[in-house]
Amino acid sequence: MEAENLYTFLSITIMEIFEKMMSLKIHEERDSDNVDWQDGQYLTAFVALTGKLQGNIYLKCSLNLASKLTGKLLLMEGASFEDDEIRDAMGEIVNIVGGKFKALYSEVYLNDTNLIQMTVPTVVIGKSFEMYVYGDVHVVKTLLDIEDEKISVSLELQMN
Amino acid sequence: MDGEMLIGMLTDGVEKIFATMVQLNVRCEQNQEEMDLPPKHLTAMVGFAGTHIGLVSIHCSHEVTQKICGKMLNMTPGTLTPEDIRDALGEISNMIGGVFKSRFVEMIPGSENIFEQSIPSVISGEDYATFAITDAPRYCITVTSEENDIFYVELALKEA
Repeated sequence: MEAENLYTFLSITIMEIFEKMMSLKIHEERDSDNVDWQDGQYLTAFVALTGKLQGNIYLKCSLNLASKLTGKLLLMEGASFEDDEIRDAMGEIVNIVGGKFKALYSEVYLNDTNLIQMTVPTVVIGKSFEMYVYGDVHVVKTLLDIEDEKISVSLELQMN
Repeated sequence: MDGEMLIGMLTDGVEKIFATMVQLNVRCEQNQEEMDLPPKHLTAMVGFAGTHIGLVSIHCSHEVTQKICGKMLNMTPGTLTPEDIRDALGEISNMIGGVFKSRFVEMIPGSENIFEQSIPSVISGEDYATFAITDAPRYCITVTSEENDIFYVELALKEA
């Protein structure tokens, strides 16, 4: 499993989901997660991969950007949303991101998309928390600038 | 899937893991209320994916986590590093998930290889909340140690 290939899969996933599917203009900063997340509440949505690939895929952003992404996903831009709607939407977005990444990885390395499964999405919201995956992992991360706000997209995959 | 049966499997798993691996006797009761956790706490979870999807998570205050992880690692509470605590709690969630999965396979005929288990994820911080984005039925048990410390274990599971 080469880190460069993982980054390529992540980059393609980002383009497909955020640019094409959600029609967002993004600016990408590879290998970066340089954001002061302590300024207010923020949200992390993740799915876990199991089977031939083990690890997590994360999206991390402010609640404000999460609300905007909810509007994009639901084709209701500018609307206000309840907390559970935002959580559901971000869970769905990370699910889509995970599914795309899984499909790309499976096509190149496995020839079978059924050898990797995804768990239910989980969303964590708060002012001050950190997340960890148990064990030694490859980390691939990128930071997207969307309408002057940041969203971190990252993978933590178990080393073989 | 029968809820009482699932709660029974989960309870068996928790009691067995704590008795054998943590050297701590615990009793479990189904919890129908909101979890009573202080702002500063930890969550460790494993996900299930395949023909059934869901997750098992354990939620503890920092103080209780120090105690149970100290017991497991045979170290004095207060001397554990944050890494020790995260790894130990992650391992506990991994073991609970593994025992639950084994019980599930035993009690549901034909369910061998029914689902994969993800590697553990651990969340640590203050003033955060976790949400599993699923319509799967959820079950929560209150776990009380022989030293009267309380923590919680949750299960969400449904057919994919």
